[in-house]
Amino acid sequence: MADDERPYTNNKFRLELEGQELKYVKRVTGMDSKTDVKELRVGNKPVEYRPGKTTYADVSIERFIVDKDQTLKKWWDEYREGKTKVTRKSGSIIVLKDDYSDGLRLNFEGALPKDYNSGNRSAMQDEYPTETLVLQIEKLIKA
Amino acid sequence: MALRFEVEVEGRKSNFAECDVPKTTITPIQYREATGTLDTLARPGTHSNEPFTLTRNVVSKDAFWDWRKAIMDGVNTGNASSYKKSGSVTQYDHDGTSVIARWNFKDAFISEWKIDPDLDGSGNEILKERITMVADVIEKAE
Repeated sequence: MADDERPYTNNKFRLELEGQELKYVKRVTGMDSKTDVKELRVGNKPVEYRPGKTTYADVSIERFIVDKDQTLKKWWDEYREGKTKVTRKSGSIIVLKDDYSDGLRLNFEGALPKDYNSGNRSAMQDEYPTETLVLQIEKLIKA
Repeated sequence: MALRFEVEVEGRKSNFAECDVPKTTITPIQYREATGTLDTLARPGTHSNEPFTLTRNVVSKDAFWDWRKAIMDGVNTGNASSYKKSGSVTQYDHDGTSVIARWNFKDAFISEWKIDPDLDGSGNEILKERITMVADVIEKAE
């Protein structure tokens, strides 16, 4: 990293689904890929480690409900109705620089909704409500 | 000093914020010989290397990412040179130049790549990537 470059923080980011920006995203979790480590033990050599299958953590998107955007809810409803073929989506998590221009881009592929939750409401709760969609993904790579 | 260290992979030095010292374990085997002493004897058994994690500030695609990506895309596991690399962790004294200790790892591959903490509009932390690797050989060099 060059000396004049500041490290990224975890509070500047945006999200795209199929190239469309999703607004009011509060939180994105699950940027993790794990490859199983397999031990190859043979009689005449010390242990050797080899990679097995790779799995990706679920990506969850939490968004403030402050407009009428139905993107997440609609996707969840379509999936529930069984239209698996049309609802697999790709997207990007973009970490932004200090001036909110695009920095690092992480692309995910083959996402399917897994869980949708729009929270509870309480008259005493003085906070903006959020909706959370959990996605099962097939790949997460740096673009 | 724990704060002065350097990680080198295939001759390339990289800037990390935290790193585990590579660790190896040996599971002992206990045995007895009926005519000898009453004590249970032990000898070294299976040898394993634990995965170890290097942590740095998130950066764009670089050699580490290419190394990781090859495994996610699928490698010819018989051809170790295509996905396994060697390197070292060096601990320096307070001056940052006098070597106190060095561990070498050989034939390592990256088994996990995690970016954390979570992205959060109200967060106030540096975004880090945690790179976990496992090596066939770990040795204390200095």
